[in-house]
Amino acid sequence: MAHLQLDGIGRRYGHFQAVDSVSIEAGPGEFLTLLGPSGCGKTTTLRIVAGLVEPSTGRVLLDGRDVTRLGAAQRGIGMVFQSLALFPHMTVAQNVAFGLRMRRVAAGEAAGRVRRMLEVVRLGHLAERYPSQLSGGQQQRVALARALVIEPSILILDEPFGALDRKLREAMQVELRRITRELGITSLFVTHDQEEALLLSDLIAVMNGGRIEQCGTPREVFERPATPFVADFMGVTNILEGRFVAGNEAGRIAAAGALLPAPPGCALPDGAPVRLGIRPERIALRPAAGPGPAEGALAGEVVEAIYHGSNSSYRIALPSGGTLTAVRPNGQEEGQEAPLFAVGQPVLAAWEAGAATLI
Amino acid sequence: MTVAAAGSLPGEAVPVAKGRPALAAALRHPAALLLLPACVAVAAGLLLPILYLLALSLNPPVTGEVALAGELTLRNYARLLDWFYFSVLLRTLWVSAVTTAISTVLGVAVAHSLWRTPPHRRGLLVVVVLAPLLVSIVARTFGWMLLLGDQGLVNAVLLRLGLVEAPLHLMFTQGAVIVGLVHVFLPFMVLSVLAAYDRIDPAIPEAAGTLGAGPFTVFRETILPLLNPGIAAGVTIVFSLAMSSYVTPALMGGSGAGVLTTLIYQQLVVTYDWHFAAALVAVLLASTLLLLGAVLYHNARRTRAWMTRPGSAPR
Repeated sequence: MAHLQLDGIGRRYGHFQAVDSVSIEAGPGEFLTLLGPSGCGKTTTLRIVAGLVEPSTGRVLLDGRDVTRLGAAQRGIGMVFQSLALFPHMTVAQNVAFGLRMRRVAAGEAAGRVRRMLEVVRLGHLAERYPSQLSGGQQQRVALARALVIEPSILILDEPFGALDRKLREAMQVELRRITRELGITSLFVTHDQEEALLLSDLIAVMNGGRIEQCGTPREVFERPATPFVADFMGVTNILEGRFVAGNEAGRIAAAGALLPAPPGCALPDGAPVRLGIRPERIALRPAAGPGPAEGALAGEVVEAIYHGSNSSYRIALPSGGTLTAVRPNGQEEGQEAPLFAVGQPVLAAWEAGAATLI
Repeated sequence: MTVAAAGSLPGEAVPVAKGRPALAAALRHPAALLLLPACVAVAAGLLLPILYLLALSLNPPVTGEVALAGELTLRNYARLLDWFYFSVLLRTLWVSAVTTAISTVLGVAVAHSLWRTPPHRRGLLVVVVLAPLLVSIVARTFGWMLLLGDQGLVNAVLLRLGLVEAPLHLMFTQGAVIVGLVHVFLPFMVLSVLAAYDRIDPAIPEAAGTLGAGPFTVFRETILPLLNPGIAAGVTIVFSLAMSSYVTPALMGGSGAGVLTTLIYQQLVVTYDWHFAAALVAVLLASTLLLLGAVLYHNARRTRAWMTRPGSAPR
């Protein structure tokens, strides 16, 4: 359990700035996730922490100690690789024992620790199998046990669940959450999957183009995205540019040719430019009664309707030129069949004031 | 020899297939017929002559006689107990083993650095590695003469530096044969080992590193065991090529560096004793197969446990 601090980390490859002045911190026992699309620098940052890549600038501190110039072998970090990198020629028990053997832990003690760790990841019965004889989820847990048995100062995970199918991935996420909480270990996790990040993390750092766009708790990042990129990445796919209109207590926002409710608690000068973000699933649709806009709603026309089973997604063209995406649940809703909308149908899109965020 | 070929003939197929499930299965798949030309070629070009020679080795030696006779004898093999012939066998094994050992060490080293080279620069390096195979053996040997001869480059440098007083006798020795063989067989080892390297997940040495292993330990504990199949393949190729190589020992070895193949050539062409030559061929074949069999068996035992294909093991 250690305190991890990155201080102005940068890494250049020729003319390409892979990581650019990244500064983040994870307190003891915290689970920090680097979230971003591929090529955003999250894996390079993680490899810098692991000691597999040297940063061009900045420092890595573990419990206040500068480890920037230490090799991977000296850092005492447990790492789970994207490909898992299990040793194919060793049994499960030998894989897990490897780190202890490198640390010259006495054989008897090592065997005990390996056995206990295999119990933690629920693989005790498969200790004598070889990795090729295990399923994907079992291999995953071997990799986790191998990283954890050395009692690392921090645990680093590089998209470890990418290769698993959806069901198994969800099970492994819950498992990882249980194990890291149980052991109270400081963890650094890399993923491009926002749901995974929200489920696992205490802190999420959203990365783009080598920089951190926003760092905060899952709720902060999800509910109050700081930049359009973060908003888009966290599923706020509808962004309207407009102006703040001061008036009665909450104020309104003029955007896309309509006056829309402003999110509560925003105090801006009249006429200030704003960006309004709305999640597709928070947009309510109803058939347009007649021509022209209605109060607090956007009029538009359905240009795409896709049936997903439990919900349907609609793309709505606005007269102002932009489009909105709305996702509506199908089936019974409050005892009434939810309406399905057809392509070409004029609709009104509206949402509660609190459902939108200013970005 | 003719079992495989004859069994595949359409006329005989049905009765033979009844008794042999594997053959029956092969015949149900017409693609198996594609193997027929290769089977015939191997049978006619390799198995038949070897069987003929083995039969010949059991006939009493008659100078100039190459037809099979009815009389069977072990006299040709008894001659091998003579220390001279036995020492040639030992020297052949020794030269081949040393060649294989040096090729393995150098081959792993070269393959390791090729593995570490970014793919876009690898192509040129592989061509460089293969270069010795592109040069004719005569030109190659002549090059070594220029280097290793009594008036060669190496001796000139040593004399000039005052390190030796008289030229060293480097050419036409057992050492020269080993140098020449390593030179030409190294590419086979490099390619075999490189194929094994390319099957190793680059994250494996990294994982070993994060677990506290230094570079040498990483190599010994995680890379070397995974190279086993490639090294075994390389050893098989290099050792059998070295055992059966003729031109390099003949051109680069002196009178005291004769090996089985040069001896066989002598018996065939100079003394015209085909029966004894046939016995020598049998010994060459048997010693190569025995040694390689032992090496491959040992290797298979060590890697069998983990070299199962994913999904093939019981759950």
